[in-house]
Amino acid sequence: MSDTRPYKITGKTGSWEIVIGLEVHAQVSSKLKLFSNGAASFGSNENENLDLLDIGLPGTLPTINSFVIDQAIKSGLALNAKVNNFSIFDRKNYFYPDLPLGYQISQYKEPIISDGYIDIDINENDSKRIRIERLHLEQDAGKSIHDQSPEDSFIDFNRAGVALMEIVSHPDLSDWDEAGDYVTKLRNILRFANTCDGNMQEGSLRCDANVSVRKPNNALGTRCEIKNLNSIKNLMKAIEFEANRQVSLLESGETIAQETRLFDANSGKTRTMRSKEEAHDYRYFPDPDLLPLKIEEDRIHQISKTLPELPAQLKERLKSQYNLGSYDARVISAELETAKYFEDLSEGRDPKQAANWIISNLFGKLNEIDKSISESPISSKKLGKLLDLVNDGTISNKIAKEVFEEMFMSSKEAKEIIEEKGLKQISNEDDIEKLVDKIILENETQVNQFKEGNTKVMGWFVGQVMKLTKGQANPGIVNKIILKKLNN
Amino acid sequence: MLIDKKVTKKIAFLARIGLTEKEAEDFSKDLSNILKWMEDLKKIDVKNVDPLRNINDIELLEREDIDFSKNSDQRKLLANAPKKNGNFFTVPKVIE
Repeated sequence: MSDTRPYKITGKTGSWEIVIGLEVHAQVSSKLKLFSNGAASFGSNENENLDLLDIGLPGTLPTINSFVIDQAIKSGLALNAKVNNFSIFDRKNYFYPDLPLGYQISQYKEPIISDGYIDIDINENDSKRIRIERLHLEQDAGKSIHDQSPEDSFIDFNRAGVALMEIVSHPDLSDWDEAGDYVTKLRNILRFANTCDGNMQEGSLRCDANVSVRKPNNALGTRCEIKNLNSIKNLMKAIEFEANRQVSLLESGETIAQETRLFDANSGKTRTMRSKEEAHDYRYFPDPDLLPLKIEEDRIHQISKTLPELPAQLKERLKSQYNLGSYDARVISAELETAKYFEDLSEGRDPKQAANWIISNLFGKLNEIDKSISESPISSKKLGKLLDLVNDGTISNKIAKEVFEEMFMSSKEAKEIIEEKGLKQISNEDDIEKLVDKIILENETQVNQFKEGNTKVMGWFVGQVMKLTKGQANPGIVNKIILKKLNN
Repeated sequence: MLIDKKVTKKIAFLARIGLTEKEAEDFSKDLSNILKWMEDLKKIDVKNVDPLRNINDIELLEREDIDFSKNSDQRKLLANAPKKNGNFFTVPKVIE
């Protein structure tokens, strides 16, 4: 463990240290909401997933979802944290139209999970430990829509009451890159554990960032909280902007006001969120409708047995089982889908070849069209068939790349494309010999150069054969035959 | 007085309760007396007593996470809304 990244901001007065703590809201994967029978699914029609409790009708009482508790325990274990045998649900009181009860049920002083950590990679060999203070369960609020009418705000309560895990880090992050790495890793761990789908577009994972700056070794500066960052890219941009904003204020002799800010993705800037007066006085108190949550050791033990392989373990397994290098193992283990794709592709094939194709070819093309591996037009099965055609000598590696490009556009099978375009590799030695003979006959100058000891001219001969065969000649055989003929 | 009128007014505002000046004064006295009584309670030595969270000796009930094909009748729920538009509940415009 070490903390070796250099300071990211150097102002007029020297280096500045950035101190960042993150609160991540992760939606628990479950069928029902935290305390009601409302469905927790995404993409339903507005106000369809409602239970009486979710809209705060009188006489309704919360009953906790057993599976959600298990999911929180599982997440806690995956984050190397302590599962508390005793925790409390509190009411966080505030008024807002998307919160019909006038309070959110959350956990305040005694959360279900505390004291975990995530190790983020600083470089190939070094990692940094980011401590997690707590993970607690709470209800999501409904959604307000302000642009439908000039007079009214529209409310959709589908989300109201859905279970969230709020995961709070210690202020151990020192720059926006670390913050991005931390959320990426946290998201992965939850997805591997299958406790949150991590879909940031759909809002299953949202971040708030607390940012302050100080001169190295000085006391902590005043912090600002940036709310509701809905992508890792925006999170990083927002922190970079905010830290620089604070430094320039301080360097011009001004002070930082502690406040909540919003990030505008279009301008790339943060701005003051009009603060609701005294809104931060939440007057937490234990919810009298809910008894303390007691978790027996046996329950924790049973859940620990169901914990699947996590990214760190997967990375190690990729190294030992498939002999992948550190870099490949890290890239392949970074996403659940990538790992799955790799394991499918490398079955019965050379793992190094599989990893290379994914990292250098597939990722390149996917980046061009801004898609993830799960949306890849070429499935692992299809790519596997292409690799098989390389490995049995039907096509060369070079041609395979051409076929790959074509597959990416057309969704055709490799074999179809090779047949259609006549791309099959020429491995027939007689055919190649004839070509080589012809080239040698017609190019006396180059033959003499070779005989005088200029072996570099060898490449020229190979090039000629490739030109005549449109790159389809088997390079190994071409080399062998040219050498044989020239040395005669 | 432990709780002055200013504090009482703030509490009332947070709870969205309107108070007259007279009420604010009266409640300040009442609330101060309650707090004073709490201060008295604090003097009792409870070093060896576990905090009581609930007077009933019962455990927290848990609900099973079962897939329901349909939730409560949306129309019936919306029918009780003071104001609505299509499938939405509506409220006077809230500006952030």
